[in-house]
Amino acid sequence: MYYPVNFNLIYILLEIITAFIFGGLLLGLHRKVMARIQGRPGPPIVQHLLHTFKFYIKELSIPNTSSMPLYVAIVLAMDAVWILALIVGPILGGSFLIIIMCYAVHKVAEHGIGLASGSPYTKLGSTRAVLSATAEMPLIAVPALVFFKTDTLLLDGIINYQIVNGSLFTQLPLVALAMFVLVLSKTPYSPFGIVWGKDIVSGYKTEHFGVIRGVMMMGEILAFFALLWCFITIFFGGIITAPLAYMVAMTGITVILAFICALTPMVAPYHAVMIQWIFAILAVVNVLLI
Amino acid sequence: MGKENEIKNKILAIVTSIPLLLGIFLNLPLAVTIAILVVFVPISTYYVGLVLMARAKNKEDEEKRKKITFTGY
Repeated sequence: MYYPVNFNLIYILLEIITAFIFGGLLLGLHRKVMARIQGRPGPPIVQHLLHTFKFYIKELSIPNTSSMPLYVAIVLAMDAVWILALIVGPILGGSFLIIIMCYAVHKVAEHGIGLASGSPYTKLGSTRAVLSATAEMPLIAVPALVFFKTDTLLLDGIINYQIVNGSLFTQLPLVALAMFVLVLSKTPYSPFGIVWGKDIVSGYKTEHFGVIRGVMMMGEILAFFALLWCFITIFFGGIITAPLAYMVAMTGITVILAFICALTPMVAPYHAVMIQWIFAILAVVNVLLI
Repeated sequence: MGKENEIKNKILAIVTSIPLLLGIFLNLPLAVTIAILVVFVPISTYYVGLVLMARAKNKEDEEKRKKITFTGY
């Protein structure tokens, strides 16, 4: 594929800011829909963004038990990873594998954030991050199965395949379901969100406040946007092309995710692993049947 | 946070923002652009955040901060 040699930094930066604002609004909508389903008025849709900005002027506290360089650096690394994913995905239409790699590094970052503070709650969260990594079978299954079907893992190539042969969603519905479960597991209040379970206060995020929490929330917003974008591009790439169509589709998927999150309790860690493996196996069955 | 730390954070916020400003004004190759964004956006965001946090410590900004927090949501 063709990459422009001189790509304007300001253009990429604007794309990242747009992704941050829209991703933040989507997470706000997610909370709002969840609240309405549960019979609460819920926060305004802009609340998630306000919350992120609010942390930027809150005092940063670094626990005495923490490993200070890791405590800060690992959160910055999480942001860096998702900025890379945004550039490679929505902006350049590059390799899907790099985005999957970013997702895997996100797991490592979750583990590092949990270990860095020295709190027992965050350590439990980080242990769960390792455990939930074993649940990410769809992470390997989805790109492999999409590659068998399309002969490419470049996002532009996958879009071109769908323009010629029709949507991958209709051809590989169970693979799409596996990817959807992957997106669901990264959504706040998800049934698979064992790493930030309220049974362990807030999981790996328990000790992070102030500026560093704001930076962390920025990374999570970018991650949510990047994963939604990937899901839509890989399975509806031929149908949905315009930015407005992407926004509508992302909003629709967020509402569906909110319904699932509001109506489903958080599953036990081992069940989270088992359920995600079942979806990955279903995806393989889908490809074998075709 | 001490006065020295605040000055250090201000300097670091400016220093880590310089590559981003350079990238805006210079036409850099794609690989360099990506490297600058991936490395310096999170770092400069962090240091700018620290400077904002220090600024928010005076009384007037403290009031604003309370307004953001307790708007009745």
